[in-house]
Amino acid sequence: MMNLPQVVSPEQWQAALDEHRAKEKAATRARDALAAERRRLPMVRIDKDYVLEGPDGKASLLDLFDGRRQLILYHFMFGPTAEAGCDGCSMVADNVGHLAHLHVRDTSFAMVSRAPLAKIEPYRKRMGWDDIPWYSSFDSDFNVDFGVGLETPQPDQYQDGESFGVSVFIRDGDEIYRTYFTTARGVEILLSNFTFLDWTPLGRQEDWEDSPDGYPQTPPYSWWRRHDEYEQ
Amino acid sequence: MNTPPIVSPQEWKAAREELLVKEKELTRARDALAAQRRRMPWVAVDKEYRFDGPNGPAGLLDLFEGRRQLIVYRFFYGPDVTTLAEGGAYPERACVGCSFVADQVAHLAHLNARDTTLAFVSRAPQAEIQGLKERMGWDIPWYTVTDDFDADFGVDEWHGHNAFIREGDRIFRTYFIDSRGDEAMGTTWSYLDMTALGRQEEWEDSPEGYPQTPPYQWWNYHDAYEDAGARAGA
Repeated sequence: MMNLPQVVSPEQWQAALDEHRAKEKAATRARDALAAERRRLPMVRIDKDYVLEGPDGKASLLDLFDGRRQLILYHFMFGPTAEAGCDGCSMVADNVGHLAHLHVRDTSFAMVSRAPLAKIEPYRKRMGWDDIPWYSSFDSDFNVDFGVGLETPQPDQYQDGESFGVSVFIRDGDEIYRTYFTTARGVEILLSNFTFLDWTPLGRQEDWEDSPDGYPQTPPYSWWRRHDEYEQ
Repeated sequence: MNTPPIVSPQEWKAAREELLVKEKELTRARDALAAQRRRMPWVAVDKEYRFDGPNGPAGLLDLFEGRRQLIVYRFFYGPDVTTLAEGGAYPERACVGCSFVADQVAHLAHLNARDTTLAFVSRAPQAEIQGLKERMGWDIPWYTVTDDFDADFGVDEWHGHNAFIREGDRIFRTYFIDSRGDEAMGTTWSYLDMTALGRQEEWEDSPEGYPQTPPYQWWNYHDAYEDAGARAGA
């Protein structure tokens, strides 16, 4: 049985919330300041020509911009020998909002995986991600060069040892620059289900969290499933 | 615009790692804030509220859908709502900012798996809400407010999220977040914050000459943007 926090009057609760709110605002400002620093990061020119494959055939990195100025690229873990994409990355894809709002800021979004397109396409259909451009880097150095794939895929590892992350690019005409990369917990801000859970009294219910005694908790990474694999 | 320096991969990695230290600090600060939220006191909700839902009348307890926790977002949709994009009118359109929020709600299976339900509430009647959901492709549980629920929970004049928990049939309000606090749920903002140009809004501290427009004004309904830059369109 969990210990309930103190149950108080609306006035006392409001006072506690107001006190907490000052810290929330400080976190928002800290986030703004970090984003300002990100806009000042140096960038690296991409000199290699990569050949990826999408539903319409071969595509270069420039094609992934789809004519827009910036490209956000999610490196989705999907090993060439795997039958389904990574469950955690699938949760990231489930959290991609309507892309019209990114597009209007001259920014495209795409996903790239090392699995061949013949595996990506049925999985995309199964998961309902019809509107997210998704390319295969099978037979390309792309994943190795961007630090999200092994030289030689290892079928005995999860997703053949591929990893995940977000790369951000900007272009000046046909010149492409990589400006940013994040992975690991840096990707969590793209998971609104985590943000929502962080607002709830029980939190994410994971055992690393600092919660009052007796709160329900399970290990992280183990409770999530592909959205059609949860038991109802 | 003045672009930042173009450097070697090694130099970029060093700069990125320096920033990573600060990003990790913020992640830890976020964890600490969430830990404090879990220690906020609770308020018992003793008043009976009545909503209209897709299956008829519903109480606040029904909005939990049997789960332990509930998050309620006040979405502005109704004849009196004035925050529509230019040219928009009720009942065809709802508040443009709230529509932007709805476009960023992820597949709810992942929240539901942690015993938590998300619901939207508006003043518009169910018939209009069902039409709006269908037109915009939103699959979110959505109820009509019929009483003082919005005023009692601080969302009668502006958007916001209220969090509730239940112990059996007893309901407690645990948390409220609004204003820019709501932005944390939105992946569009988070993605733009990762880009070289940012949100491209004029309040942002960006290098000189970066493209910027006023905030709140560039938003539109996802089917109403002119996306001139792209070949394929939205």
